[in-house]
Amino acid sequence: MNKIFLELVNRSISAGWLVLAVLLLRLILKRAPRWVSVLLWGIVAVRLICPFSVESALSLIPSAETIPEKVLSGPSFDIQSGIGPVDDLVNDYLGDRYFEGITVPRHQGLHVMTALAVLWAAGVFLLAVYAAASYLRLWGRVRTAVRYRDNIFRSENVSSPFVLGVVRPRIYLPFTIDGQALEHVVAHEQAHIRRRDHWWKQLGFLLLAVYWFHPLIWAAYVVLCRDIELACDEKVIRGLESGQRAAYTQALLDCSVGRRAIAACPLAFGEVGVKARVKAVMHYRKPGRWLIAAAVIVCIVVSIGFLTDPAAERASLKWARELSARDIASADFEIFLYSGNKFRSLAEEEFVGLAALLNQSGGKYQPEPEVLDGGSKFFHIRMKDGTSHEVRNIGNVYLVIDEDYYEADYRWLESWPGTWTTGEPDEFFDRTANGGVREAAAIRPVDETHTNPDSGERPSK
Amino acid sequence: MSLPKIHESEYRFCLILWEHEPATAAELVRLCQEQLGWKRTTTYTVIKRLGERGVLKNENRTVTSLISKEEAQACEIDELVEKKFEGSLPAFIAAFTRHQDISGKELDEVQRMIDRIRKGGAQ
Repeated sequence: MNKIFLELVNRSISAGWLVLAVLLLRLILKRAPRWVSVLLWGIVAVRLICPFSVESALSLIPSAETIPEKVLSGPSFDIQSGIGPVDDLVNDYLGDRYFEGITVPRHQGLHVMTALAVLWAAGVFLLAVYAAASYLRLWGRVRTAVRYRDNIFRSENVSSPFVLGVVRPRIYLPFTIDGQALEHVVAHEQAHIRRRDHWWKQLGFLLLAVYWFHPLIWAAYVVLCRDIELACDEKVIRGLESGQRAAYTQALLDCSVGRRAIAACPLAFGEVGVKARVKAVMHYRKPGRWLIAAAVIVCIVVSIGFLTDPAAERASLKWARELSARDIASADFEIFLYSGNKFRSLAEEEFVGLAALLNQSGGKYQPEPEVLDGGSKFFHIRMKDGTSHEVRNIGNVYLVIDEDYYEADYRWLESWPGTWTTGEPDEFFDRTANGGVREAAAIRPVDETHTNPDSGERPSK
Repeated sequence: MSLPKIHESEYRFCLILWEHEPATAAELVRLCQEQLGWKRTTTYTVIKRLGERGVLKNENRTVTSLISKEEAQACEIDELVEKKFEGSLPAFIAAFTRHQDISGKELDEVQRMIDRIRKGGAQ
């Protein structure tokens, strides 16, 4: 359950960016037809539902995995929100305060996540119960509704008109609506049914129940409901002459009684923002072809930008960020200077520090790096599973992991141990025979290298 | 007059009952399904509820009403006059005549009713 919850959290964060974009776009596209807005919310829904997504360089999402899975296994807590300053801020704050086994109890990450996951599940359950109860109560109230015609029913227990039922939707009206107003109301509700709004609203609420912890999803649901009503109004208006619009708005006003907060099920006629809807009806003009085309283009751009994920971490970076001290068999540190290489093996107690340092690896992958002269610092790491890796800091400019170049943060590169100057402290280094780079694979266990300075390895690069 | 309250939907049911009584519950179910669109369980529930309230009686699966249509309608008028016309029947009639177009034939009928009341007969 932890993994599922974590995945949902990450997905909701990605979707959150999309929601912000859609909210912004709605403001810009005020003159466009409302069904465009509803379509945009549909894109948000796709993002929330799809468990997988395509990677693309055109992705506008900062990060697909803001809270990495290794939070569950510890020992340190780092986020990858994709936004540099945020990452720095959070990781700096937590860097010193959160280290499992030292500053916080072991498995703290796991415990916290489990507790949150349980809380989340409880929330989902409560919302589901609320929706079910709402539905049942409503069905009970309209049981004695009498048929007016076709699928339209009237009941004394209905205060404002709505549609109920997913498979065979029925329109429920109060007895007090009559004549022309009734026809307008029926037209509106039938437009809802034709647009399948009774499905979309349910789907929206279902997603809300699952992602209830994300405030932007609530905002999205509220605005979705509003857009659905407005789009429905537009659909009805399209078929009316301007003279009938006044009668339609009158019917709107007459039905705007007893508004509820977020209703789980029914599509009530007067439910959402009557003033805004009346204004929209009175000012409605058929949108021009260019506007519709522009709106469609916007939708396509948004889809590509937000339904795709940013390029995934390369394997080398992933390895470095997930490196754990207990998986290290041996590690050597080497500094490449003009005067020759300095080299030493790391003691086992230092593995933890090494892993912590490398866990902070990051930076943009550079497929064609500049060739640099100058000093390098190397970590040659051999893992318990037999694989070997090499991590290099070239001139505090590049981080190189197993031949992949990354533009890492300068300050972090600077923080690597060892200096460039020739005045190295004695305890640090041995010299190798020819000053060349030591092949990672050729590194011997700690005690042997100290006694074998002229092993004479050939440089491998 | 304090007759048991009949809600709008239940009133529609009563209209069917008054027209077809005495009727079996099964017949009523069929009629309600046709004319009102009610499920079988709904009809049974309404029969039970109205029975408890004393509007109808259900014996040996035959349903008969305890309140006639005229009684129910009179009760509605009373309530309407009480609530909306401060208990003044003339005010109600005045409003009625002002609003509706009454044909000559209806006027005669009303006149006859008033005369009957004046002469002391009920109905």
